Amino acid sequence: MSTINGPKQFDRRRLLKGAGAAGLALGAPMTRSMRTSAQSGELVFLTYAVYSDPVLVDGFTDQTSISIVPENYGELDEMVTKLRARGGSGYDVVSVASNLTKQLFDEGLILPIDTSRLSNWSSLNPAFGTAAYVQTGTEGQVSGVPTVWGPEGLIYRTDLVDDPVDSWAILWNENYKGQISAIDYGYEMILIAALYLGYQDELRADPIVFSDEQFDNIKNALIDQKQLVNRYWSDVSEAEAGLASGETVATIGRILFQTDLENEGIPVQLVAPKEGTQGWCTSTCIAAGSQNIDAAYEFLNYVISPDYGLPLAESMGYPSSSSVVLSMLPEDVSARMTFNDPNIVESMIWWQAAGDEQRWNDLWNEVKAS
Amino acid sequence: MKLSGLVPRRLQGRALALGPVAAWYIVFFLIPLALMLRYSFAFTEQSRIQFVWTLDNYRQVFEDSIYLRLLVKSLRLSLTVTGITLLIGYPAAWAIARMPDRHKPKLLALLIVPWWASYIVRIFGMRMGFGNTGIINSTLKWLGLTDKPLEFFQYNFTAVALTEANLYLPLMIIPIYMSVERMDMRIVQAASSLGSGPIRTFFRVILPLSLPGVLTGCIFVFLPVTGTFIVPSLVGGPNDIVYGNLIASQFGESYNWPLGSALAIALLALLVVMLRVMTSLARWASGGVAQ
Repeated sequence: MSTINGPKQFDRRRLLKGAGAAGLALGAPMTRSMRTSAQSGELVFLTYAVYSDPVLVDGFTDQTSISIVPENYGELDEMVTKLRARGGSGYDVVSVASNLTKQLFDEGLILPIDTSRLSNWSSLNPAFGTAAYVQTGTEGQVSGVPTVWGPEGLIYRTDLVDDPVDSWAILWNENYKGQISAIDYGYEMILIAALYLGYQDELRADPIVFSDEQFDNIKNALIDQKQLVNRYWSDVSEAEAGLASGETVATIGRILFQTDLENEGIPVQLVAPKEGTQGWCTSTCIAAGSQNIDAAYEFLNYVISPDYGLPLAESMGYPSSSSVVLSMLPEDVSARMTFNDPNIVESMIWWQAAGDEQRWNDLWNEVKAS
Repeated sequence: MKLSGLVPRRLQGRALALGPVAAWYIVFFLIPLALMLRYSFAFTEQSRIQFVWTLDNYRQVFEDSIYLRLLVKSLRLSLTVTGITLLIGYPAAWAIARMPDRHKPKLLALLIVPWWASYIVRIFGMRMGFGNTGIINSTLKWLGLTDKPLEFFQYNFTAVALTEANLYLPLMIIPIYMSVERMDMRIVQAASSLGSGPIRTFFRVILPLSLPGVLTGCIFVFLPVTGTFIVPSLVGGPNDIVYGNLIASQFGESYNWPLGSALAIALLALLVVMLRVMTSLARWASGGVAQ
């Protein structure tokens, strides 16, 4: 989940907007928001634009008269850099993907959360509430409130791919040289290569630890794949534009892609690969420097309520972590979000902490530099 | 204490005039540079920067073949871009300099107009114009001249080089223009009237006379392109990552500021050496020819 853009229309303006954001993000590591922590009555929310959309958060302001000040990031690396640059100050609440919660918690950038202060905690699907990436703290304290999740499968142009698509191997298929795109996010690319190579057991462990030999195999697989790749995309609009124009016939896909492209009349199909679908769960966490803890708890409780979860599913196409919300949705909406697999929460490979973060980063740099 | 006690009277005006710029460079250039130098001797453990003194980062920079390979790629890119801008820029500078005086300011202003737009806008402008789904390819397809897009601008080295050249062309033209403009045309006429053909006149007379401008233009284009990273990220393909991308990634996703600093300092040192060589050449060129 490197980037998610809010608007659903796929048009040139959106492409440009995404592209501009990408350009800004590239220059972003050295820039810092000059804002200090929000005034009372305000919460600064460091998140993807899609999660701070007025459709989702206006209800909170109506209920509590606390306004949400969105500070949107384009990709996870940008979020981590921003939090680290200011030691977690300047933000109140922050969206953190499941592979990063432990790390940010250990670095002291997000605060432990007392679940007894959240009346909606019990409505969570237990699989999320008890997940390793949530139960990071001690004695009932957790790293964040699991809010939204999403499977990442394969998406392909049904009119341009002849081979059956049911495996990650399509991303290594020589027939589509120059027509494959992939994401410029090392963490996810390593997961996909590991799935392709059959390292499912390692991926289910927390943290994920590979042997030297496995690291080498992953690296070589990604280097082989690179010969087929036309582009490592870094945001949704870029990935969708490739599929829309037909330059790309297959890539890593999310529900949002299929919704957007179908609206454009482009024949695409999102599938769950047989080696396993991988995916993330994003938690809403309290930033270490927040001066508005009480308001932050109110917001954390809100993001797992139907007021946030229903529009999240219906307008954005993302499933909530709340069982209550999922049970309120029409069947076709939930089926689509879960790749028609009612057991997907159990069967999916979840993004979990990398055992040796530095080595993962180095590996990806080596692949890109090869 | 009076200022006159510190600075000789005749230099006081100069000290006042240079004070603000000196303060600016100290605060916004030298101090950050010193900090970066300090970072380059630290190391990162578990995402925390430990301020020890170690040479490990530099060892990694010089021993790891990735860094050197990407540095060579960066140099190849900047040489290509310098070549392109020189080939296009020299005739343009010559033409502008030989225009009637009343047209020159207008033409020079036109040269600067694209710089009013942000470089990000200009990069995407190139992509919208020349990309596979860009205006040119769409038009060709619409006219039925091609059924597949011409792929010359499809996330590749050509796209990176052309985009960089587009960004830096004015920086090549302006210094050349300045040296061509003040050239004494009677020397050129003398060469012709003494029987030198146009090619010989160019290489023996005109080029040596304009060499200082050429070298300045080359410096202005070569140095920034060597450290580039945004253009390869936006219009380059999977194989077009350069040294600058590696530095950027150390300050971003890899969160290894010490290694990033060492990479940046190594690049800076190389560029300083190259700048020395090029300025010496420029000085030799301007001193070696009677003006």
